[in-house]
Amino acid sequence: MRKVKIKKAFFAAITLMLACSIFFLVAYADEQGESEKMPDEYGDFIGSLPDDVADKLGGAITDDIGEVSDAAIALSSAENIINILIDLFLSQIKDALPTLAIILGVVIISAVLHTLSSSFAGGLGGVIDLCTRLCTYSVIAGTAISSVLSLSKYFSALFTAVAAFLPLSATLYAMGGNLTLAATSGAGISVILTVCQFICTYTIIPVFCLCLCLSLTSVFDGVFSFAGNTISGNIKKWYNIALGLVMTLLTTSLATQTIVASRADGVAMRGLKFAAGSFIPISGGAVSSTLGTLASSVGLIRGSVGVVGIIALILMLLPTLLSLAVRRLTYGIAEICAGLLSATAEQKLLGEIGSLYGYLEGVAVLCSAVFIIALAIFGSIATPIG
Amino acid sequence: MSDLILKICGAAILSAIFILILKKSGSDSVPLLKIAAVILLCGTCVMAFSPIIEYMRSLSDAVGSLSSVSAISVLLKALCVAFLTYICASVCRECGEGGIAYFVELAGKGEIILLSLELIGEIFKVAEKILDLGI
Repeated sequence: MRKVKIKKAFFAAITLMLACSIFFLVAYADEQGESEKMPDEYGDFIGSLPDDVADKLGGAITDDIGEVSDAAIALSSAENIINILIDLFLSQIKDALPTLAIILGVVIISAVLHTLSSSFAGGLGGVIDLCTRLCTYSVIAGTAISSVLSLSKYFSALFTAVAAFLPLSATLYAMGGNLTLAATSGAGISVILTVCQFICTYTIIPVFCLCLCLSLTSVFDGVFSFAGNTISGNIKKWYNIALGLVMTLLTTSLATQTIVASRADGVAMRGLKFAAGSFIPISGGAVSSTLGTLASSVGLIRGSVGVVGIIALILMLLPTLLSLAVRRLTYGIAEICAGLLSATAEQKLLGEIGSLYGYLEGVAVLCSAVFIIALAIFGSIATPIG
Repeated sequence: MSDLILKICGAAILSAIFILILKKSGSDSVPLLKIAAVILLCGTCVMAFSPIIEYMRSLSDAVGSLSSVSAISVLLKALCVAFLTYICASVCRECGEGGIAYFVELAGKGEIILLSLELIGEIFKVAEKILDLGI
């Protein structure tokens, strides 16, 4: 009798277990296809870039994370950068040759006229010299318009691209668990963007024009003495120092803010991960491992986007910078030729105009360096959820 | 060109000798002869230098694409004014009219400075164009 009871209890238990198994939830890992795609904001950022820059980015213009990271590695290789540099330099040299030919022609005519004017008596030689110098200066000053135009176009494209990058950075920071950084980094870069726009709009070109007009006074050397070149040189020097100081302070502020915010996010996320692993039964450990995988994925996206962004900014900067450098080289060559022809006034004029281009180069590099450093910080910040 | 310079030199020496002979004979037409010789030689030189002037005009057209005012054409005008002034003042001095020569030179300098002011205006227009570019 007792054995029958035990058997009945045993069979009832098995039946109950089998019945309960029908209602067990089946849990399995499913591949989420959407996590391998870039965020939509990435497409907006690529769309904000100039067409020639987007063409050079090639394989980075895609939704696939793997392809973007492969393209980022290929674009950042030394070989690729050197090839781009050589191509741009050669095209700028080709564009600068007609300008060099015309400036050299004007210098040669000036040298000939200086020789002729020495045969005039009664002060006529002096006014002819003045007219010759003004003619040379007028021709050289006219060539500056295209350089300033390309610089202003570059700054417009730079600010558009950086403004388009802000939502992308906020999204990627939030995906990686950098919630504080997502909220604060956008504000920091926006402040830098506003300051740069103000500086570029209201100071760079007016200072350039002021220095251009001050260098005009060197034409009147011998008629009256005015230290226009000295004043112009000091203005350029102090302006570049002030601009460098402002950009250094802004970059330091952004870097320190980013570091502190990322550490704070790291502490918060680690606490969350510990709580998930400890207090969620059974699946808590899986959640912790999943967060680690997600962190790696977001880190890959962030690093790739950061590299693509840096390459894009450099591709925007290089044509303008090389154009200014080649134009400065043109004036340098013309200055040497003027010296050989004993056209000392023209030699001085060409040297002064050449130094103005150095000022423009410094300004372009300083404004770009801030945003390149911001992108480098963005790409290198670790994801705290990992 | 080498033939032309020989002709110019020959004509100049012959004119100088002829004027010297006329001076010794006490003729009144010596100043007129001087002016005629100067004008003739000046015209010959201008014709000889016409290829150079054409080249400078073509360079002026090329510069005109970079600058709104053809600066080299202004320079050519200034040079012509300078030559004309110098020749006229020299002839006046040769005729013993130093005062007239002085005012001719003054007028020439003023004309060249007026042409230079046009260039200064163009430079300021370039600065204005650059300011208007903006960012």
